Amino acid sequence: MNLLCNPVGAFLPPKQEAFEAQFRKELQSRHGVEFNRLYTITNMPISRYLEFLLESGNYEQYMERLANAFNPAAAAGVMCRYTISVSWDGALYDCDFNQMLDLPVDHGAPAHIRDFDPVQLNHRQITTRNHCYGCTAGSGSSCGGSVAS
Amino acid sequence: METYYHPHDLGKFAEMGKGNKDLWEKFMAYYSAVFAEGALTEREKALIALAVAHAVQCPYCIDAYTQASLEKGSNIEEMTEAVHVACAIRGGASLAHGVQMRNVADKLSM
Ligand code: SF4
Repeated sequence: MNLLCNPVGAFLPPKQEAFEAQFRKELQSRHGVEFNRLYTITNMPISRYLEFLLESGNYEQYMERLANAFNPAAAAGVMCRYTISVSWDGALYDCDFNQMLDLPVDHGAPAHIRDFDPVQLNHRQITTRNHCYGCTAGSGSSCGGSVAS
Repeated sequence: METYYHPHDLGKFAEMGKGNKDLWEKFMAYYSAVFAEGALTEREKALIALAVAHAVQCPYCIDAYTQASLEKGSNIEEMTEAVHVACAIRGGASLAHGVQMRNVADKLSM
């Protein structure tokens, strides 16, 4: 069993290793529950979470927090560097977030699965926007949890 | 000036280094070392800082260590208990000084 943790609010997730150790201890002592890994994931400033940030007046502070926590080591491990996201109609995206935002791969690489070309895709320029700061803040974030220590 | 405290002033903290770079750097090096993982975890230290922030009633520190505590994985129950610890010590310290009052009163009374 693996656990996933998203912060419930406008703040960054805890350090994955420390949080995993804390959860291991608490879940074992309180409920006798054991698990394999705990992954922490940063909330991306898009969709419903973006609405929450705007409505609660936290948007600017959260974006500043993400930008100030920019970590080059995390940027080196973001998932768009080694995965591709494919939508139901075969369109290619750098990641699921870009798919949600309707930002297809569009920097000189095929944008549809029928033209799949790993070499070109490996050398494409990734489409980035402000939400990418969510992947590069602190210990970084991907679907597999943090990417840097 | 409507108020002495502005949230955005917290971001200007580093400007204190302009007056004396050497002391500022020494303070920051010490500060970072204090809050690094040691015999206590970073999370526990953030909770202590949160309690102390309430004891010294610093709105900047309350802001910073509320956020830090959440980001280190503490929940609102733990944070509330930390504030109660600060409250109990502050209140207890006042009450314990009542002994001084009793000593003086005893001495003055017939
Ligand atoms: S949000 Fe940006 S940085 Fe993160 S995986 Fe997608 S493209 Fe890469």
